Amino acid sequence: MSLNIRIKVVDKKGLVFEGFADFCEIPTEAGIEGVLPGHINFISNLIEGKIRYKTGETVNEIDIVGGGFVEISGDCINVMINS
Amino acid sequence: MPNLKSIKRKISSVKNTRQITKAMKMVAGAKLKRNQVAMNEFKTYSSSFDGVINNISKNTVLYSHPFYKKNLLDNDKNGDKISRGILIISTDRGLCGSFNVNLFKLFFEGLETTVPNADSTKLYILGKKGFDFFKKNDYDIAFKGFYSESESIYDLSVQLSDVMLNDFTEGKIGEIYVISNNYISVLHQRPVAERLLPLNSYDNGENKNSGGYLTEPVSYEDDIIDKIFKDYIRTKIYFKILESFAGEQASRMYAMDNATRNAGKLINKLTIIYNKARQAAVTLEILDIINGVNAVK
Repeated sequence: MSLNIRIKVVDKKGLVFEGFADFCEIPTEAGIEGVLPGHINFISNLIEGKIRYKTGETVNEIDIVGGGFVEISGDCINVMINS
Repeated sequence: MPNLKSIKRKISSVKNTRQITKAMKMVAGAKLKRNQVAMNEFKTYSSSFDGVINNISKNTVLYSHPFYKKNLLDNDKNGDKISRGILIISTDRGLCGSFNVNLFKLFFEGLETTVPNADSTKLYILGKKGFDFFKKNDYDIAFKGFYSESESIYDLSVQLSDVMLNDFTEGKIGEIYVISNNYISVLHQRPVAERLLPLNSYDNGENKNSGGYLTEPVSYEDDIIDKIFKDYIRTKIYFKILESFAGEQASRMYAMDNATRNAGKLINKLTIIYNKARQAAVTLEILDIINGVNAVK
């Protein structure tokens, strides 16, 4: 198992973010989903809010506007934003 | 000997044509840039979506979804053959070289190999050129869409994919193919036929991941999956249209560039003929004068 997770965030205008993180929080319809390495395969719709991801001690944020969905499999998070 | 006046008229008409083709080339160039930007912007989203669907396809749990069903092809409940749907993305306007003709050629080639029974083909056509062509050849056209008549390309692609997905889920068509031009470079567009539905499943594949997916909220997980698949088809069609748009302008630019060059060559040729004819006329006149002078002497 790898020690970090790969995050890829895209919207219809292009790539928003791609990189690695230790921990990630994603606002979904089922609540805020915290993702650590080794997370179960997961699909849910996004709601408006902020994706927070932590690399080392720094925490970064990405705004989500307009919904979309998230797919998690094999330590990869794919966030597809509809805007 | 050709008439001097008629050659001159021909030259000026070719010059006019050259001016028009030159202008069209520049217009196509400007449009190409715009369409290229739109296509490239959307490309990331589209290819990421491909990746996501590919991930999902590795999970056997989701194979119960109707979009993976393959057995529809042979016969339906009544024993009737179910037809295949083919989406053809052509253009509204002509003068773009062999852009559309290549699609039609691929359609007829593909028809023989993948769709042996031509009676059971349903066509979904975008673009006036494709519609005119297939109507002339008496095909069953289930949907037609013209870019010039719809508000935006995105609306058109949503409308089209809704019709196609409806037909697919109701079992009217068992497979959906898309024939469109892939944009490779400004000078190169390749017509390709791609199967859109049913989605590829890794039934016998090794990288099968049977862990399944946790879909939340669980209360309407089917709806979530359904929406993702439908969005995927929409995204795919929309991207193909964008690609075709960029390709169309590139192809037109190339065709008009060629036309301009050919017009230039033709003008050169005609000018030489004109000069020769003029020279011959002058020589004839001089001969006449000399003969006249000699006669007077």
